[in-house]
Amino acid sequence: MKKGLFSSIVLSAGMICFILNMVAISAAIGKKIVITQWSFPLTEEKAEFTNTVQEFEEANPEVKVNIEFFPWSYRVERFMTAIAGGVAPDLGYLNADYFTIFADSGNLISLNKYFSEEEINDLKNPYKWKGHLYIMPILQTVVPTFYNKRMFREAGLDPENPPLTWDEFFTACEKIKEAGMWPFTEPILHEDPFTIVNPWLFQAGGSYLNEEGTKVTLNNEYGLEALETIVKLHDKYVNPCENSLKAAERGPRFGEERVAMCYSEQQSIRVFRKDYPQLDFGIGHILKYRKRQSHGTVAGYVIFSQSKHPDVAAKWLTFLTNTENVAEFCAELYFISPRKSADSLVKEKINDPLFSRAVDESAYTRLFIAPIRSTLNVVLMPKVQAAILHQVTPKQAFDEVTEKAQVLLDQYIATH
Amino acid sequence: MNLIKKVKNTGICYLFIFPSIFIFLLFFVFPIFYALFLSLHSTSMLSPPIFVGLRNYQELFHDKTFWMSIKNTFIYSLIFVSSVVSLSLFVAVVLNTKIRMRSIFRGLYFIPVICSVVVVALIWTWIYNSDVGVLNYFLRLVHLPPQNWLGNINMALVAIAIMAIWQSIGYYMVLYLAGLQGIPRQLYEAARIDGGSSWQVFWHVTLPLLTPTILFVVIISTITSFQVFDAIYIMSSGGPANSTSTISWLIYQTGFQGFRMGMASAVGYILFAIIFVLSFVELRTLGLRFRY
Amino acid sequence: MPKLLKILIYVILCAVAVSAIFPFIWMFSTSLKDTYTLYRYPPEFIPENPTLLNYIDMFSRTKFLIWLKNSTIVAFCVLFFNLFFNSLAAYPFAKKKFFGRDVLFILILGTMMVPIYVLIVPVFVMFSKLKLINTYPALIIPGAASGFGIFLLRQYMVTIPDELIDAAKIDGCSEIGIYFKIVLPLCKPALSALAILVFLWSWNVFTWPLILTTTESMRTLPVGLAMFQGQYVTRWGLVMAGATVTFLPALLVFLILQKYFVQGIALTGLKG
Repeated sequence: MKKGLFSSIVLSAGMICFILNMVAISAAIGKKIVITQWSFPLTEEKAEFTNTVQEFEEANPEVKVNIEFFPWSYRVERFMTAIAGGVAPDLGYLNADYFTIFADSGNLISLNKYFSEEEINDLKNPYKWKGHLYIMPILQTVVPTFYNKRMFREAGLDPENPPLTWDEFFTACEKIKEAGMWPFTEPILHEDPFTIVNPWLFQAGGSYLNEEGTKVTLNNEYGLEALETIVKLHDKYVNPCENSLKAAERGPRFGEERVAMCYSEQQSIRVFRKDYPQLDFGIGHILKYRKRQSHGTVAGYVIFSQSKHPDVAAKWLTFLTNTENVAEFCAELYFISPRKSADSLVKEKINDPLFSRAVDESAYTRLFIAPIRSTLNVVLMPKVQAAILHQVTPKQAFDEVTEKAQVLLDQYIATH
Repeated sequence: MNLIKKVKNTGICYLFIFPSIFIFLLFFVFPIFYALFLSLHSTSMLSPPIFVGLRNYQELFHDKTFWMSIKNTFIYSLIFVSSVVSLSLFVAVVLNTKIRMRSIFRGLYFIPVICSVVVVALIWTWIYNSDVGVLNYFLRLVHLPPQNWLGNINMALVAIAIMAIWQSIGYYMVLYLAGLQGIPRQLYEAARIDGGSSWQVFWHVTLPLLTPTILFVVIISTITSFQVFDAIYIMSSGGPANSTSTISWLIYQTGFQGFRMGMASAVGYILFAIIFVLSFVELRTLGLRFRY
Repeated sequence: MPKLLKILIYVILCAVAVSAIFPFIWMFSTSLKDTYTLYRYPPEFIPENPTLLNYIDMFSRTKFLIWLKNSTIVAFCVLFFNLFFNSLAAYPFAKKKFFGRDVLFILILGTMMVPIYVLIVPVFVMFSKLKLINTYPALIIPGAASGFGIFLLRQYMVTIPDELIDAAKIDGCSEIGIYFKIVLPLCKPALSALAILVFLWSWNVFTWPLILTTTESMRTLPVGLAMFQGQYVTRWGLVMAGATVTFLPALLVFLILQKYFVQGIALTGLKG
């Protein structure tokens, strides 16, 4: 039968390829120590490490560094299955936002012994957990306010003087609204509260957990004030169509001048310049109310405890995150240097006044890093959306979240 | 049949089934039982699981979000199955007759099925945009009130269902077309000679002989719609306010965003049980009527 | 059929068909733009400055061809195994009585009902222990047998007249002979439908290749293309270029196999 012949050919071809692959893989391993690192494309540029790898391998001929890239959205599945299956890589890229759950479950190696005091002090934000350093950062971000200078002028606001306090911010919003334009963009179908909730929560003086991390304090007076402000913001100053949008829409809406202001990370500066060359925009302030704080994170590499060569991995990590390499990496993609020593280098290379403004704002970042964070977000975001859509009152929303989150927190503490 | 013949017959049957069963055993059986095991534990999969007995199931029973997901899933499935079973049948029957360009039509209807779900979801997000989307543009044109399709708690689920139906018509059309090929032409000719109109031919010849396919389509569309995930992942993340949170989404969210695999497995088992019971009911009621 | 009704049906068909081609046009036009943004309002169906940069980058700077090779090999292997194993299994369920038939059938249907995200961690752990991660068998096995295929073929085989099979038995044909000479040829429409759908599934499936491969050289197209979406920035033009190129082979397979649907005549009566 023609079909049988065809399928036999295909099958044989498949088998041959399979065998060839196995041969190739075993040939590659040879006798070197292989360090595997799992990274994620931050942008479409993935060839960020070829030179660094080359330099390191030349200086350490017995080591081979193998970097694999994975899709960003599926990082949790990737790490979880690998750890559960006992085949975690040596190094992995993690955000400071959620490395704590990996650390608490004993999957990360403490980096304290690999880095000296001064090296750790060189980091602007060494997010230690229970006294140990787990992440060696390679980049830092901040989420300042972006604003459209042309729209400011039209609304009668001073384009060189963006709002600093909540009062100034809402006055500006009112004026922009009166001039017939939408003041702010904040799509609500985001899974992470870091632009929707965190800035307002922190600035109102609230926080997710108490100091010891044993009690959820979302529904205290500060938290409630924050949620009420968020609801007011969305009621009056955000286009209702954003109730159906995800976070990726924020950039284009600002870039196409449909809104006057937005919260966005500083690497968007590069994207806006490229995709919207006519856009006349500036970097505003992180707002001030009771406190002047907003979200900003740090990301870098961890060494997994399943690694067979932690010392060699640490050697590579030290090289990867030293001052020159960090500076080069950050400058290319518009990230803020996590190292004090590389700061000026990065600013020089980028040579963009807006970026320098963003770096100034990065002094006011604050990060919520408890292990319960991810579990809490799952409970939090739907309730925030419900409050914005007036399905529940802010008090009901945060009360429910606090109650549920407290149960989860208690469960977590009981098992760790 | 005497005993030896029976045993020989059974042996041959199992030989035929063996390759598939082997793969099922390899691929499904261990994971299914492991998931049951996990559902009785609390774990993030990053450290050894901790036994908690039926606590996960108890917690779910009292969880408003869980019941909302069940409700959403049932509503979605009802809309999807009823629409898809009928619309695809209509399209398949029409495209099986000798109308012009039917091959081109079939290809066109199948294109949404071939497109990756990412592309389809992204374009429908644009279509549904309440500000500048195409749908509201047409509504405004005919003086009907524009809606906030994906941003409205009451509409988001239906909007996603409509998108899924649009994408799936071609898929089930293919299944119906295959079934239609099994109806011998002589029957049609005989019915026409007897003086039947098109509708009578359809009702008395096509439909009865198509019943195995229809049963198949009903069950498959039920199973697929109960597991709807990709569209929600891309378009709405279960929102706004959990109005599009289906059970599959809840499983993913609980396990991979909330780091609670034990709980996710429990939800998974409940979903499995629901689909199983529903399919069983469909098989028995519809299958019995159709004698297949 | 009255002329008016015919015209109305035509109009509806055309309207839906035109909407069906929408995603393809939009996908293709976005692939010709060098852009980080997905939608422009008003939408730009004909790009201002069309460029082939995305396609060039995709072929030269990514491992696209390797992913294409993997996807092709896996798809054809899955097609072969799936059609063969499922038709083998469907025949007894359709035409024979044996011990445990109904229970087994329900269980096989049951495998379709397990939510996939419940399976991925145990499957990964199991494949990892069997040293099957990053191999072709790992990519082929998830598609090689499916309750869907068995169910589909069984429903179709049920309509094959028993007389044909009985006649062959009287002629002294073995079971496997009946399967190859009578049942299989008569199932061409169902087999073509299954072939199209299985190929499509294997070509577009994302979750299993994502979980069961950890190195880029073993990835399939959908997983490779997901890499174009970065954590902070996505080059949508590139994503759409990938989507367009992925789309074309699947369309081709459909166009080739769909002619089996056009044949309208399945049974020519009893053999002599």
